[in-house]
Amino acid sequence: MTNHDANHDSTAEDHAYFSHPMPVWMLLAIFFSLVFLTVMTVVMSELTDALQLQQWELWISMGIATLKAMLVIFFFMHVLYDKGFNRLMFFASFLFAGLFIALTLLDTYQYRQDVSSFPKSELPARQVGDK
Amino acid sequence: MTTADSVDESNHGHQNEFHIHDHSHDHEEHPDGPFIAHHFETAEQQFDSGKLGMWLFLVQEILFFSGLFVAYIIYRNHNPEIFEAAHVHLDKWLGGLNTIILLFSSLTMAWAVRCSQLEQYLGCIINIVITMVCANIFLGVKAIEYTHKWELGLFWADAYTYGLPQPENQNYLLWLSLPFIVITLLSAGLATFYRVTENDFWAKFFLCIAISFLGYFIGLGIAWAVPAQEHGGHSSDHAVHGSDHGHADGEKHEADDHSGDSSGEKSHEGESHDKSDENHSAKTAVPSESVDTQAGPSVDESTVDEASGEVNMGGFFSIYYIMTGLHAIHILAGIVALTWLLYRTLDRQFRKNYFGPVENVGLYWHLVDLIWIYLFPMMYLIH
Repeated sequence: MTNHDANHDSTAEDHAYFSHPMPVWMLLAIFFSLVFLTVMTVVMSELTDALQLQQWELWISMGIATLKAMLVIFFFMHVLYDKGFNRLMFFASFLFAGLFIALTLLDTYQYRQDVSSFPKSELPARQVGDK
Repeated sequence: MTTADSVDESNHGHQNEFHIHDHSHDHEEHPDGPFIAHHFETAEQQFDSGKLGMWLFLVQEILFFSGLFVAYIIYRNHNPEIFEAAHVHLDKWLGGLNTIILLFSSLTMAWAVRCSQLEQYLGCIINIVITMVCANIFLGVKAIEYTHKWELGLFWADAYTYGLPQPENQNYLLWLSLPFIVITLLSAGLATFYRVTENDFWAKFFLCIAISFLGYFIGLGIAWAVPAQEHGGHSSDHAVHGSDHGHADGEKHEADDHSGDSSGEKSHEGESHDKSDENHSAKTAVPSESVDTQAGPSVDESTVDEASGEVNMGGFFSIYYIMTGLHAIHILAGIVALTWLLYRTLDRQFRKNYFGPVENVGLYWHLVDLIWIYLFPMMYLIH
């Protein structure tokens, strides 16, 4: 950046606009969408039994949470306009977190049979568990 | 820079100071301004470097929180009945309210970043203060939630005494509130002192701090105003569970129902419960081998009865306290970071080509919000 030396006074101005201010309407729109989704997720959990959605309940609430997370990430955290490398890093962390969770869950029910077949009635329950 | 006098001189004073600092290296101030370090070619390069560092920090935050999420998932998979029994003790209205408060603070934080980019100092200060107020409201609501559980003996697994006689005169809320009371009074006093001594900068600074920490007491008020937490949560549960059970009001009944639902040890239950429990335990279909594994030292066989409920929820509350507590610590750290921003904004240190600190604290604040977005359905919206 040799032009710095050439013109001291104006260089600050030259580089003044690397920022990308979010328009206020967009911030407000994102906020109200987030509030709407929050209300939706509470309403959904209230209606779970009425709508016979018990088995989907977790996926619905996690889906809504992920939608909210995406809104926050892309707009509030400005990732939509951020550098590619920052984006890559951030989403890679989710990938690894997902890998961590998925691998840990692989054998979740592996030993359920052993636990279930254990004669629980003959012993106090607290001695039986896996802790 | 830390003394009030030099602060009052604002930019000019700082430029001199940094000028002196830079002398040892470059013999002159960085052309992009006083806050650009000499080893960066441009303000933008410094900004990008700082932001890269912040992203790296956030990445490790996500990874270490993911460990707790794994603990939650494993424990819930192994003991779904404990989660079903415990969720009636979490008030989803307070949780939802806290979610919206945190979302609003994210809005004002993003707005503060915008203001700092556009050099709108007043807007930036207002938004930072609102963000801090929201953070404190969140903590206030959380304090009511925590202390209410503690009064019932709903502690982590080791100290779990739910259903047992609780010690009298435990001023949990007072102890939790004490730091907030002290900081509010102290900053209000300092604000008055500096107002009297006509030190405008610090008067404003401590006034903003005092206002921020008043948010905590607003939070306490809001949580109190939400009618009877436990019952509030229950009434909503009744509406939902009404279709299954069609009875039960009052705390004990609800607790009994749920413990009956999931524990599967029906021989201990009253006959009236048996029928309604059939449905539910068939639905959850989980035997209760490990239900009492978390029994703390103070919970013995005699407490496994109607009064205490049969599911020992200590395991759930261990995870609950660790996850929400760690989140609350992040909120506290955020308040400290925001205080730092407040100081620097009041001091007019941010400008069009130097707003990195606001942006980076903003990123951190949004991540804290992000974690809560997942914690809320995981903890409060269990069925």
